[in-house]
Amino acid sequence: MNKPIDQSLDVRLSGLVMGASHKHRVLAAIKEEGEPKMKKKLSLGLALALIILLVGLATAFALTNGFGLLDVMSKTVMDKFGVARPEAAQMVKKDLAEKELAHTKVAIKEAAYDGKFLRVVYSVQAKGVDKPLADKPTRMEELMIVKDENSNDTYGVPEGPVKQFLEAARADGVPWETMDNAEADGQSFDPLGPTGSLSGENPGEVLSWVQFDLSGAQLADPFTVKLMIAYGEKPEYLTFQLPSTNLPGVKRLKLPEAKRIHDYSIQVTETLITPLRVYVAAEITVDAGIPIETCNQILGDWLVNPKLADKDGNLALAWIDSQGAGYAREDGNVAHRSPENDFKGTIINPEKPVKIVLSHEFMTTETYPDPLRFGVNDMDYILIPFEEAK
Amino acid sequence: MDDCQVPDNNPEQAIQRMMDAHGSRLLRLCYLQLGDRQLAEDAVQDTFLKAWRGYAAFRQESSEVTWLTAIAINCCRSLKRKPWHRLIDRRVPAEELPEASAPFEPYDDTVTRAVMALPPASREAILMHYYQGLTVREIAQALSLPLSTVTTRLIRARDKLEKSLERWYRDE
Repeated sequence: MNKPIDQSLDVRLSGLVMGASHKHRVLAAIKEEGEPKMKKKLSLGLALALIILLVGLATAFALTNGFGLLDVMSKTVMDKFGVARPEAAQMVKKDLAEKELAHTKVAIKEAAYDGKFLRVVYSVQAKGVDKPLADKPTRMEELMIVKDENSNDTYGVPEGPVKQFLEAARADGVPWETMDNAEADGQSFDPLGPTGSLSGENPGEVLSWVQFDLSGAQLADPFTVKLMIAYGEKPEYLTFQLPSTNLPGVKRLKLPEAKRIHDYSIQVTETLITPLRVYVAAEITVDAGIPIETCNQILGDWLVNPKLADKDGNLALAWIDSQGAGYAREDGNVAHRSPENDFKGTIINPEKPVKIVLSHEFMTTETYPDPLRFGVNDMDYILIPFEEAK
Repeated sequence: MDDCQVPDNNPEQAIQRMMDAHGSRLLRLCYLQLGDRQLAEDAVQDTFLKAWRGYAAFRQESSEVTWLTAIAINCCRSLKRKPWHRLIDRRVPAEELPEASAPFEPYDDTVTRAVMALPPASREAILMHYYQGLTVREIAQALSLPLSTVTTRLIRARDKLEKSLERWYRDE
């Protein structure tokens, strides 16, 4: 006998429950975080200083210009997200473009290209709003609180500047939360990774940041970025230019020889040091005949436990984010789970190796050990000489 | 659906109560959005962490389910944008889910599969409306979309569901 959709889903998924251990993890994370962020009295500078001490970095540096790209990244994701080297100040370009629409004004406040990622912070300001959305920079998710007036169908964001802002952005079709796409010299890129929005200091203003991985793009110097700032029948765009070469503080390291470890070999495919991040990418080739369970274990280790440190495994740089770790789509030799293989990841040809690709981001620092050690434990690692590629 | 609650004085207790009241449904909602149990657990954890951070502002406003659902949907969107979500297929199929806690008829899977097969925007609308019980207006406000957009998405999603569940509906 059929049931309404919600009951059917609940019955079929009744084995999925939020168990005690899951709840415990949430509470532990809350305890670790301390008081809710909006009540914190720590200044951003002090918070960043504490983080730097915690991760054992001597001279990481944060640009604290209030509502700039790095500030918005820090305040909307986590503090260490916006930690950068001083050279980033030369990399971050300001007040790049703006346009007035019927109900809003959209401006590209800051943007930076570090040789891999394009990061943008843009402002959407609702016209006719006479005060900021909050007294201090506040994440939009905290401001968009749904009201219950104890009557039917009266939920809504609070009356006032937040609601006025949302209505203005909606009327103009402005994607204030994030952008779906960027064009760099005519090549199209999707956003990647986290994003976030923060109330700005100006009346009716929201600042959002978004990032795009431009790896593989053919870029002129300078290159042209085109962002769609309003959808609808008549889309609106903003364009601006950024340098693509001679980027301050950017070093691409020479690739080391592949290293053999147990049942697999690892080849570093990229080590890019920039004032904003250290990017390390690698390719792992697991020997033919190794079972999928072992492959999964190797993948899991390199996905969850990556460490970039000195040759002895000390002075590790803080891990920031992952740009992916998984079986290669093209020639990974693992059939992705689908109805065709009964949703079981399987090795396609046991006589061929399995290929894993991975990419991680670490916090930047003033000086780097030579060599760098990229690994997951005392056995599984590869040394990367600190030698700039020509 | 518990839409009314007395504000808790202690945010930690409030989060605990919210996890007890809404945690499992949010976990299923996130699973249906992400198709991956581990990612769904991460999304639910993020949801409650964000709820914790925003609790001081929330506690005087209320409509807990709507608020948590909106946060959860946004967490799922963020996770779906992670490159590894695109790079590899980490989905756990319905067959590999933990056993249902009560016996169910085999073809009940049809609904789960049909919902998971919907395009993301349609799936969001269907889950928020039919699973979490939000009104069209609540969905519009939670997602900051015009009422007409939500209505259109719901109509289209329902059409798609009706087609894929034709037999299921006919038997009803």
